[in-house]
Amino acid sequence: MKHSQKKQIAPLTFTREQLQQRDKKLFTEIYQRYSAALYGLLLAIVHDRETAEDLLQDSFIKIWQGLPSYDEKRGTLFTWMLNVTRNTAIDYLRSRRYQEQQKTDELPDYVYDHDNWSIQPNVDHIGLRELLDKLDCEVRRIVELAYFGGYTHTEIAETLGIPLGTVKTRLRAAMLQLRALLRDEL
Amino acid sequence: MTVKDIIESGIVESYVLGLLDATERAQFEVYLDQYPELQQELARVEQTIAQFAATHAVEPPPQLQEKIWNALQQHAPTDQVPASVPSKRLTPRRWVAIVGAAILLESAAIIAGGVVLLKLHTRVEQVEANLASIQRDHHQTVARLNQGLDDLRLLTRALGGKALAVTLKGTKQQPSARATLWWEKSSGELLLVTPILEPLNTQEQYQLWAIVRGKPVDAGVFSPDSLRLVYPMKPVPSAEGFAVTIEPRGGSAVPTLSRMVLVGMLPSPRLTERGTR
Repeated sequence: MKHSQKKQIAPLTFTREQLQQRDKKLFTEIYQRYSAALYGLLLAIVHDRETAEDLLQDSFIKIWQGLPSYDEKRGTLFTWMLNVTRNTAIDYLRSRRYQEQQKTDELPDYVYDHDNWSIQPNVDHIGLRELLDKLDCEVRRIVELAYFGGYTHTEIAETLGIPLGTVKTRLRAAMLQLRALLRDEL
Repeated sequence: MTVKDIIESGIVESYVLGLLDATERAQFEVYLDQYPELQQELARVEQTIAQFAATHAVEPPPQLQEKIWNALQQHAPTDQVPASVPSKRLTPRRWVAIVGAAILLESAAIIAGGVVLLKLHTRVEQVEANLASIQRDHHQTVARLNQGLDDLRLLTRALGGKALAVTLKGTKQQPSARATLWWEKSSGELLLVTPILEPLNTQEQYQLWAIVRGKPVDAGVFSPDSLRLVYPMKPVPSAEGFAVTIEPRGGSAVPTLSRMVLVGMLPSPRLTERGTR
């Protein structure tokens, strides 16, 4: 594995006071540490730079407003921010998908691009493509649906035609494979 | 369910990825408080996700940082809304700015209209503030309802089965303290129900002990919460009695007997036999 890929996002910890205060110093620290990971995730989900920039801004507004209610006992700041960002992107995709459906209802002949709505992540990034390629096929689908697609357990079960209980155990298998792969890399 | 079962069910991954519904999440967080092993697993899964995120990190354009900071300043910190409540906020400022610019281009005759718009703007801001507070209340109500449903589900299961009720009574430390344990002997499942105990400072927690062949065995820690009725504790396969002590947060290996607040013994089998004779 190439050395250039030895990356890690070191966790940041703040006091409750700092999180309540929400000054520019806190913003700068959080932004510089996490924005690349969040922006990369948005790009992988929406496939468009301008949209990803808008969504990063929307996500940061939600993060900023939610900071006082963030509970460090329930997970790291990064995981929480990642979920706020993913939800923002998924909400955006769903509302766009809804608008497209409205449009097609009005204009039955209108043909829209189904590929727009595929949940295949944008894998321009070499590191991500290499990593996803190494996963087992079924495990890779789970990662694509759950991580990049924001699909719920039920939706994943329906899409893949597997029982609900299998979704969670496969998600765990996916995480174990990822953990092993990432360990090799680091 | 043992910690191993919980981990192998894949629930930790689903929790980290935000895939659990409110009830599943509440249940998981109860387990999380109970088992340090689960906290370690959570940290491992989070680390994997963070590493995975690093593989597809892309630096945003440099000017974006300042742009976002400016946007944050516009969204004044007074309108805090819990992040988990999806908020569909209006952006009256931009709207008023556009309308305001149009008014300047028109004549002074419309200034009266501008005043109305400004009033409207103020009104929109009030409505927005109300909405934020309603959303906060709604968020809390939903959390309470879910907690109630969880409690009810656990209790129904306990009462429907062959669970044994053990009454715990207060000691000299807290004479008015009371609690009931529902104990399903076949599975060892243990529920602490409606404990009446004095509040503790944040550095301390109550710890439940099972007395097994005369020795105390840890059965988990809990912090009383006026909104909760039921506290799932660690499973205990056999015990002659139970006791609750005050311990430093996270619990102790050995009970601090001088701070025992509740105790309840099961009727000994020999006594019962004599009683039925």
